[in-house]
Amino acid sequence: MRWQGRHAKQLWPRLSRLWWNCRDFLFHFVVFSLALLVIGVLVFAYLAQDVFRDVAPRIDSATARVLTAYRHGGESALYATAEQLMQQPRQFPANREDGIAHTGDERRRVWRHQQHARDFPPPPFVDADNPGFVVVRSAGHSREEHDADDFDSLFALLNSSEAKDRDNFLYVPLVDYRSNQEANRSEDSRWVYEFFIEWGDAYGLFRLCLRDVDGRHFCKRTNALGRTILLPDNSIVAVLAPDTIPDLWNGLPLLPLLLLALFGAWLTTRSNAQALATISLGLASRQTITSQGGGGQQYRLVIPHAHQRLQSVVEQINHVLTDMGEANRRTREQSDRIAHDLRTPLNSLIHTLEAMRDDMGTSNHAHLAALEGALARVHGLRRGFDGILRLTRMQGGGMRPSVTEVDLTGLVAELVEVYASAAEQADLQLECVSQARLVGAVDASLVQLAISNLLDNALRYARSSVSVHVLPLDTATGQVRCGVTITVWDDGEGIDPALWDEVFAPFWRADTARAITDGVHLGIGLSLVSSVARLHGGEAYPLQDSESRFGIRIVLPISTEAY
Amino acid sequence: MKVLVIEDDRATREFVCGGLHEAGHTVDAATDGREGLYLGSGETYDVMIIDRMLPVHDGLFILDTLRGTGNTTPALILSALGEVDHRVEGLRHGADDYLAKPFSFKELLARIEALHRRQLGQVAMESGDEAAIELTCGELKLDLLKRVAIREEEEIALLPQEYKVLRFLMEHAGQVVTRTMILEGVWGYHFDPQTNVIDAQISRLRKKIDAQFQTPMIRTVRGGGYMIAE
Repeated sequence: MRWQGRHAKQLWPRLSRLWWNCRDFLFHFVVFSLALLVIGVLVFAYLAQDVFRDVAPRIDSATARVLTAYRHGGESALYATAEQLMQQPRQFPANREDGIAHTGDERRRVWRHQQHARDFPPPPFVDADNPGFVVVRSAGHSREEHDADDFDSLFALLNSSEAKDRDNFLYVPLVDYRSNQEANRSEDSRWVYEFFIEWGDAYGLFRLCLRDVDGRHFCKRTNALGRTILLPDNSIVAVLAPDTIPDLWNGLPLLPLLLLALFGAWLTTRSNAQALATISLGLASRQTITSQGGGGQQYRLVIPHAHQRLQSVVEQINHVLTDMGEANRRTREQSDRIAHDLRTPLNSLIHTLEAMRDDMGTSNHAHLAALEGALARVHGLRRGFDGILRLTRMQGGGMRPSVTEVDLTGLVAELVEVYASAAEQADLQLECVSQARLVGAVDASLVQLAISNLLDNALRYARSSVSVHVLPLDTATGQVRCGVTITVWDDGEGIDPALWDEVFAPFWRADTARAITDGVHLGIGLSLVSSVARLHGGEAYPLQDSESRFGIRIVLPISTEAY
Repeated sequence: MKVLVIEDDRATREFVCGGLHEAGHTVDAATDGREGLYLGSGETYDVMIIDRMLPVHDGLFILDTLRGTGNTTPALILSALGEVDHRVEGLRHGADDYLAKPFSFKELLARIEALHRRQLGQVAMESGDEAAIELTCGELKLDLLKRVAIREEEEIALLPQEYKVLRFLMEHAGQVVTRTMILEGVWGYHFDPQTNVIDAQISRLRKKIDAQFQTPMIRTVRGGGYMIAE
């Protein structure tokens, strides 16, 4: 019954640990993703700079050719040069071919682009023959309109609807989509595109976007870099290199970055969990805590060399441990002083009473009996006082068990032997039940003390029989720990299960016990038992068997050798 | 017996000295560590009773110093610190016995007499006696090999715990042994069970040793303990 409760208790921490690990992992994943994304963007921008650097001089030289042709040969030379340029194969790397992005994600985008292109075919001059340049000329405008800011005037020009197709030039009729899109829609609107400037870049190039009148980008890859020339007739010639703006989202290798982030998050979470486990293991196991210095009470946490990065935490823990050791030492000193100061008057009380008794002789029986009773009570007081001090020292950490290899079965059998005649006098059956000789590392005197307390209790409350069971920790209950259980059973009235949580509290006693109390038992026996068990890393708890016998069990989680 | 008492608490010192005097022993008393060390190293005593917490020099320091100079006088530490680890510490510093305060005088007396007797016994052993194979006290014999008691030519079978108790009593024949001395001497227990286990053990032993015979050998000493004698 009790053990099932423990199982439930163990499940909860495990779940909670899992939950915290998951949270940890998610947090690390987000951080890693963001960091990798930033790094990716930076790397990408760096690579994009290369593309720009490559494209810019070519656009400049193409623009220079157009300008020179116009200066020397007028309109006809301008058209001829423009035609040449548009028929020239590409000489600069397109974003698509530069090998930055070839992920599945990109392929999907390309497919979507194809779908899209079927509904909204790209303008004929783009992608058709993969031209090196696209040269666009707008219709003429009054000069005043150009005097404004360069970009603004260009924008206005590009948005004028007067451009028209003329010979080799591709005149794109532009629509002022901002003023009234619907008004300018016609049957031909599929071929109506608008240019607009999104940004200018560090090389003095500007980016033009082509959109159909519905306002949809038909393809991001038409994003073009280019330069403009303002002709004397106030028309504008734009020399554009299509498909030169690297596409950030398609360019980033998202899947590898994601995997990398996952891996990084897993690695950090694992390493954090391991670090915590190392510390908690170090604190829990006696191997990594070594005692140092005088008094043998100083604990230090020592961790394997592999976890040097925990050094500062370990130092802090060691500080705390040192402080605790100091506090323990003080507790010990204090209890020693209290013991000294309280025992001295008790001592003289005993001596006075003894002297009175010895002087009295045997004549006055009533007085003698009273004196003997008083002495017995003072001795009971002393015993209880010893118990309290011992308890304080054990619970305050002032006592360190001096552990040796002990034959636990023999230890219990011997105690039972000592109590045998007392049990016989009280007409009680006392037996010791054990399976094998169990040898384990315990503080023998503390275990003796605990069992003797249990036997004292059992003999006081039993009706007809008391038995002590020394058994290896039952593996049938699913416990993988090894250890020894020592259970003292009696067939007395027992304790109401509702009160079981309280029985180990100091000075607690059942009402029945209060009724038979003789005034010198202080009700700290069970607290001592529980403290002894806890000093050995175990526990003590009450239980009841099928024959409704009541027992107190001590579990000592020690490695044992059975013979 | 010549006893040295080093104790700073006046009431305890006077009580112990007075009691020892009454019991017919010669007593020297010292009130602090320095005086105790001076007396302990200058004179020859049969037994020393040393308080653990003393002004000037601590009781353990006195013991260390005396033992360091080859002094083997049996010493009993008297202390308010009664835990097992205190006791172990005391014994490690060369004490022969350790008694926690508060104590009853009978207990102290029984213990120092036992210490003295043991010292004499050791001297006798060193002078060439063989290890005994039986203990004798009047008409009662205890066979240490067969683990039986023999009284008036009659063998009395003993349970293991009865044998142990009887042997301890007979080793201290003629001396008072207290309950705690039996607990310590026979089983090595340094705690005081609430159940009167020793009284129960003794009464069972009496049934075997004394019941069928005319003169009881195991006597109860009032306020002290038990004694086996002719």
